[in-house]
Amino acid sequence: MIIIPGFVISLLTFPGVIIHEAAHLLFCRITRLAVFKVCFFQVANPAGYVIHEQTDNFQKTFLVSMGPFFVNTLLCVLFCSAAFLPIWELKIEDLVAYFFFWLGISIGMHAIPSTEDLKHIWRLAPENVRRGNLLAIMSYPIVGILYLLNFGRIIWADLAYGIGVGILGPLAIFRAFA
Amino acid sequence: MRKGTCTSCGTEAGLGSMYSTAGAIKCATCAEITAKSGTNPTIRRVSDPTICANCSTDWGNNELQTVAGLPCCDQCRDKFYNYPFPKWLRASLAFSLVLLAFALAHGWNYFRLGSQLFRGERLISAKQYDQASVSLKTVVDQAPNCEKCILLLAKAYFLGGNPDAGYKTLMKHNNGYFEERTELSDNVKSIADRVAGALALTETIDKQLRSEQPEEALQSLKQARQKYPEWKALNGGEIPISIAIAFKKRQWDQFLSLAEESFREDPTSSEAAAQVASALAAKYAVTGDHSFRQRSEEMLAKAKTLAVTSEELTAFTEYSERIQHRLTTREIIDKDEYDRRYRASQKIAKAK
Repeated sequence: MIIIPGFVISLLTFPGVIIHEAAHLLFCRITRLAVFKVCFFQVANPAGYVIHEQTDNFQKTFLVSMGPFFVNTLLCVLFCSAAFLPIWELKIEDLVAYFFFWLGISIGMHAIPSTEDLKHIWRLAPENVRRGNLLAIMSYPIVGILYLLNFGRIIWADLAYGIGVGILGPLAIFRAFA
Repeated sequence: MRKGTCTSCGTEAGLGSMYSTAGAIKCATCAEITAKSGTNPTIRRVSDPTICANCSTDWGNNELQTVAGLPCCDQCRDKFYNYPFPKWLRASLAFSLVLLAFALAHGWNYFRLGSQLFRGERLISAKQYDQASVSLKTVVDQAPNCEKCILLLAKAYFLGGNPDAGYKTLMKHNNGYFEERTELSDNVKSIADRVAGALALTETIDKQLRSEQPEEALQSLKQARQKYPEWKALNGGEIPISIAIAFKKRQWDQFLSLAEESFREDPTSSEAAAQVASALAAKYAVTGDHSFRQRSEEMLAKAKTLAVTSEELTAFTEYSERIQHRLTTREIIDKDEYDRRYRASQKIAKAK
């Protein structure tokens, strides 16, 4: 097992950290939640954060906590799409394609919400499930898997997620449209 | 600003400077004494609803709206609810969009190749091998290191009945060596082995025909077709060998019927027309029926008109001599015998 300090990983994948925090901020603004402080990137733990108003509204909490997951995943697929074919399928040496692949994977690696983000959803989910909130019901398995992935960071689950999305996403797109 | 009175010492001060503990309001001094009492109480700063918790502006007696439970003036509320995206972030976003557009434009040729690759794969699944090989050839030309593409192209060629192109495609890549062992490479290897087996049998057929063993050659041909049924060229091999067998067994009706079948399949072939003439000449030789002779001469004339290339003309000249001999002498001899009798001396004369 290769152990690399967290700050080194953050430095190597800084675009993903910035986009993750920017997505938090974006969804705070969309859901009208007050934002008190934002750190888009720092060489420390955590690599970035957004301090925002708490709410008991499940939809808002879900969007703010899960927003980066969707944004980072989508951008990972898009950037990797430009690199997937030359690198994985056609085996063409193309530096530009490698750059886009690094960018895509960096973004995808930081898609997984932190346990702190997931705790907010977990706190509100039971009450909302009792009220029959469909999103809350659906959130259980998603949050469960993401919790596992969070614990799996120690064995590079975040990198595996980035690479997985960066390959399977474009592959699915090309299979569907080619 | 609102005022509060300490419940312990009665001191009056600004509400925002006081603390609450167990429901009682206390001044800073009394709150500190309570904190040190060892009872481990929960002590909280009291917020003055008329003073902004962020900028500390005193709004007199006007109660402010709260943000996250704390009083907040309109300016600060606006700042919190419209937290700005920094300029550098907006610039980065714009740059990222440009980068994404560039990425997609840069990858356009790859998308095209990729779609050809997936199309080729789909066509192979649909057993449309000729079209698949056209698609995959384009991909292999531009991505010569793509082992998957090369293997798929070779598979399309092999299954499309084009073994030469299949082998050439495989051998062009590291002399036929592939680094990754995959399900596809195993699949192509098994097809290539099958093709190699059939090709080896064609050499056997050739040897058997040269040593006048047409029955054995026919068996070998059947085995080759069983091994590699996709190779359409083998389908055309049965009639010539059957003709050789019929000739050897002197079954002239069978010879004629097979020759006519061969000519029906390829009515532009000079060789097939001459073969019909040969069979009719044989029938004339054994029956003496002049109608066979007349038809033979007609077919010979047709064969002459169908011979266009120099190779076809040479072959026709050679064959027509033997057919004419058969029509003239009513004697049926094979090529070796004819060569021995009439051509060996010509060769010697030429050599002299």
